[in-house]
Amino acid sequence: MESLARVTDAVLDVLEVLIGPDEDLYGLKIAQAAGRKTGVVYPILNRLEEAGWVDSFWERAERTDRGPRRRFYRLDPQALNAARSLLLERRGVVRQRSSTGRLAPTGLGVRRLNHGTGAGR
Amino acid sequence: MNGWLGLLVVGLLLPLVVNEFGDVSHWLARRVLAWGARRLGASDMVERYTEEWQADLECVPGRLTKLGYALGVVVWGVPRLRLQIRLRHRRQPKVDTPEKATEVSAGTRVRPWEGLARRERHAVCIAEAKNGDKRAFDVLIAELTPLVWHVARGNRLNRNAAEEVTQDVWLELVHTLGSFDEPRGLTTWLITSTRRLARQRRTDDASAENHRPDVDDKAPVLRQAHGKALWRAFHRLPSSSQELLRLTVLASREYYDVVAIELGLEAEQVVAARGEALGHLRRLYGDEIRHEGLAHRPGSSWQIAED
Repeated sequence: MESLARVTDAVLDVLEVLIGPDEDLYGLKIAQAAGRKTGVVYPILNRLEEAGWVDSFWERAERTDRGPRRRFYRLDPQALNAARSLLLERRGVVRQRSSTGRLAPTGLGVRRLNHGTGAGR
Repeated sequence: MNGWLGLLVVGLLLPLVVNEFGDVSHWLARRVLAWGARRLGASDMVERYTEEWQADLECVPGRLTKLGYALGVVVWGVPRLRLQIRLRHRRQPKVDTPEKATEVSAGTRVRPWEGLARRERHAVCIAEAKNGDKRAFDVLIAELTPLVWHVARGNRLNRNAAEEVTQDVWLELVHTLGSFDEPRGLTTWLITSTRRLARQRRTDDASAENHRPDVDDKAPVLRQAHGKALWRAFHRLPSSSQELLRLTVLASREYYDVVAIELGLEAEQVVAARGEALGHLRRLYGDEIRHEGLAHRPGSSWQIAED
């Protein structure tokens, strides 16, 4: 696992999504949850993958005639601590983002905050 | 209404009000994404992102347009990914196998239309497309669909009809490609063909003639009164003025010379014609807001809610 060069705010937003509770994270979903443009997020995910922080995989094994498969992204377990440290270092807090609202850790556990855009992005 | 106010309102609002190009159909977004993915070069990346982006395209929710997604990925994402891929190749020692060679050469395969001025670029793309190079055709589609769209809409087609005519024009080009020979250039052919198909469409389908233009109320600026008034005023303009404004205000300066040819004007006269059309639009807009009893002061009476 390599360290990340050029950690931008967008990278941190993407990491907050990746450490969040959502499953089946495909590029568009990550971009929406992070509030970032897809054109910015795909390259970030590629960098994370090349650095060994993220794995990606097809939603099913074979390309059948059910159409194109989505590519799911998952934080590599070995990168979880690194991601948390990075967020703590740059933002002073480790937050998670999900597509249904933002979760913020408190001292006593996890409390759900409304993201303000209503339920269900 | 005040001249300066008209100028301000029209200048600011018109692109927002009329630039509804985003909702072109699915197939165009797919083509743009396929073209963008091919530009990545490395064949494994091309294959992976082609499928990944097509799949994500299906998940684009209602508020974003599919073409907006496609263009965002291609304009912002592809250049960065290309750079990352090049850096990756440089970091890894190259094994001199035939497979590796193809991988690199796929990215550096000659694109003969690059760096050319518009007319030459189109001519080369047509020639390459005739030889079976699909990428060349996709370049044309990506670049020129706004033109086709705006001509279709300027010829009084509603959005569905304009979408279909846009597809039909490209399909016609595909079918006649083998014998395509237009000395006046591709853009002229596209404009002429689009107008022809639009006319046919209007005669075939009387209900396509909209006297009440279809307001896209998803656009924030059209949810308030001044935006709607400008929209109505725009659609009261004669076809030729609508088309002229769409092409010169909304498409790009590049098309001034094409517009000149189509209208039988010198290029400089296009600027004057555009000024006249804008003046006409301001007067119609003034009528609309007087008719609706709307206030004349912009700041207090409307806010554009930006997404």
